[in-house]
Order: sequence, then C-alpha cells, then structure tokens
Amino acid sequence: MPGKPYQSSLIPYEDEILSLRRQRPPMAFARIAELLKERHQVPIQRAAICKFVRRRARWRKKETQQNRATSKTWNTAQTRSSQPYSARTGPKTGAVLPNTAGIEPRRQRLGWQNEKPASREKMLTTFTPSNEYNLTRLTPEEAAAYVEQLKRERDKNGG
Amino acid sequence: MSCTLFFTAGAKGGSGKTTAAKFLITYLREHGELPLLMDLDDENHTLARFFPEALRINLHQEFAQDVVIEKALSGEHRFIVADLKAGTGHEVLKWFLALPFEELKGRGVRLVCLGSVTSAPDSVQSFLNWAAALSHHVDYVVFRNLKDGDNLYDYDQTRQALEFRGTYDPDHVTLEKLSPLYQTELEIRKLTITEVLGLTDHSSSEERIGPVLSPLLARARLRNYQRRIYEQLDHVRQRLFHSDGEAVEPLRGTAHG
Repeated sequence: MPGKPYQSSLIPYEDEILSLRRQRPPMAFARIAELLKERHQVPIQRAAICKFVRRRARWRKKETQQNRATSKTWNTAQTRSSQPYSARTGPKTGAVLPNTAGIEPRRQRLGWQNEKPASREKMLTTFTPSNEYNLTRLTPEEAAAYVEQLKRERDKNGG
Repeated sequence: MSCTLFFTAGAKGGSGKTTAAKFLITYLREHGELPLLMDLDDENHTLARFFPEALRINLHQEFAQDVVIEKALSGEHRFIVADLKAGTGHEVLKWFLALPFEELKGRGVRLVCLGSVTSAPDSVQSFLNWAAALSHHVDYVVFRNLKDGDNLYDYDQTRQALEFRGTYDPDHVTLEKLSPLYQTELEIRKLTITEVLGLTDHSSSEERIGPVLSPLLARARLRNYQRRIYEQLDHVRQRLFHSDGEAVEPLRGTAHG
C-alpha cells in the first residue's frame, strides 16, 4: 500500500493534552477539544482525543518496559509489583504531598502492638495521595511478611 | 492551659466519622470534661443535630477554620472536638498543612486526627490521603467501623495501610455493628446512646422515645455496646495521655458504664 502512513494530527500537542489529563480533576475531553481549537485552530472531536490518549498510553507503557529491560542498573530480581507505587509512577500532578517542613520526631510512645515505634520522621513511602483507589492488596501471608519487614526496618533504625 | 484538638478526617461519606466523634464526646463528658464542639459540616450539620450546643462553622467564608485554632489557643477548653464534613477536600487539608505545628505544640495545643474506616476501600484511601499529608504532625486514632462487615481488608491487608500503622502507630477503637433497628431510632430521634440510657422505664409518655429504645433490655444492650467502646477509649486515653508523661493532665473522672 503506497502512501504516507497515518499519523495523528494531535502528535504535536501530545504533551499539552497529557498534562491537561494528568491534572486533578482531569480536564474533560470536550473541553480539551475546545482549547485546541481556540489555541491552535485544530478542529477535532472529543472522541478522537480520547482515542489518542489511550493509544499513546499504550505506547508509553511499552517504551517504559523496554527502557527498564535495557537499563544496566536495574536489579532484575526486583519485579515491578515489588516496587512502591510511588516509585513506579511518581506523585500525581495536583496531589497533596506530605508536608516535610519542620520535621522532627513525633513523641515517643508505646509502639504498634506494644513495641517501640519506628522513627517518627519516616514518611509513607508506599502511598501516593490520590482520588482513585491505588492501594496494593496483599495476601495474608504477604501482609504478615510485610509487617515483619517493617519491624525489622524499625529495629534496624534503632526503633 | 493545654488543649487537645480532635478532628475527624477522610473524605468518604458514611464511614462513621461523626459517630466516632459522638462517642468521644459522650465519653469525655462522662469523665467530667466539657469539650468544645465544633461542627464544620456546613451541609448536614450532623454533629449539631445531636449536640445543638455545637458551634457551627461556615466553611464558605475564607479562613473560617481559623476559629478552631483560636479557640484552642484561648485556653478556655481542655478538649475540642471538630467534626469535618464528608467530602472535605484539599482546601481544608491545605489549611491544616499550613498550621505552624511546632508553635502550636509549644503553646500546648495538640492535634489528634480521628479516622474512621469501613470495609469500603474508599474510606481507607481517603483517610490515608490525609495521613500522608499530615504525617507525624498529629496523633491518630482510627475507628474500625464494622457497620458494613467485619472484614476491613483494605486497612488490614494493604501495603500502604500496614505501612501507615507501622509508622505512625495509631490507636484503634472498634465500632461493632449496631442493630439497624436501634441505629434508625437513634438517628430519627437525634439521640445519643448516653441520652437513651438516661431514660427510665418510668419515663412519662412524653419522655418515652418509642417502642424500641425505651424497654429495659434494649437499654441494657445499648449500655453494653457503649461500654465496650468506652473500654477501648480508656486504652486510647492511656496511650495518648499517660504513656510518656508528656501529655496534658488526665481526664477528671475515671468511672463510666
């Protein structure tokens, strides 16, 4: 089949569109279509933008996986699912981030399950604030192992 | 005089935030305290329905929440219970984050975040949103509300919730499922369990509160239900106020039930 392969007319505006979709709450596709028309005189249907965003998301996922596979520093023993959610995605745009100003240890008190607690300066590293569900469910065995891991880390840090 | 400010947190509606606040208020009162009640739910005013004396705050006014801190700093109240509405968003959370925590601590104001989680995943998610932002600046008391089921999977078996529990060492109070029959009667008649227990079999017909709540056995069940919660609050009180000798004076009374 001769001729130029199809390319979306939205490609030059990809970053702009994605940033509008990443903000919380995300901008509606219909509104993005209006903005593109206003700013760049690009007449486009909202469904086309929706399809474009979905298609590009698939590409980005593939690219990320390829980059990971080729990265020399990547520890192959560490699977994607074992990574903290925040490490995988980074904080979402518009999310309220922990206030790290003026951190000092929280008062010492009897620890969780009557053990000495971990350092109070520690922030939640596995949780990213979000308006959508993003918790990682564990099996009972995994949960027990994770609690043990937290305890070990706490002990290692001097409780 | 130092002041402990309890405030409810979490954007999920119907998770039991106000119920938790209600039990805390009646518990404090039964121990001789007179907490200042602040209702920041400008849509439903649920707390003010049960406690008409609660101060109503209109959140639509800019910096309306400041009055909470002003009251805490005034030294007039040892305890303040502020009930935020469901759906309280980033605006109020940002207001919290802008608080000078260290200065408040230095002036004897202590903040305690009351969370309530159910089997609904959103209740855990929205509470953790607040916890991640407030981090170690406040203490946490989490009410495990079993109204929708005993299995709080997302609070007990998710990586993030377990990390929260291991890091911030929250206190826990379990709210067992109360019979819907009683729950409905209490809601309709705007009564707390403490008020029901104050009634007797010999109450006049005007004082009687319907066929369900007045009988002796119903009150006995409610008394047991409340006692189990108060026993847990006793434990919370020990942890909050006595474990390290830092806190403020203990509650005035000791008996309940």
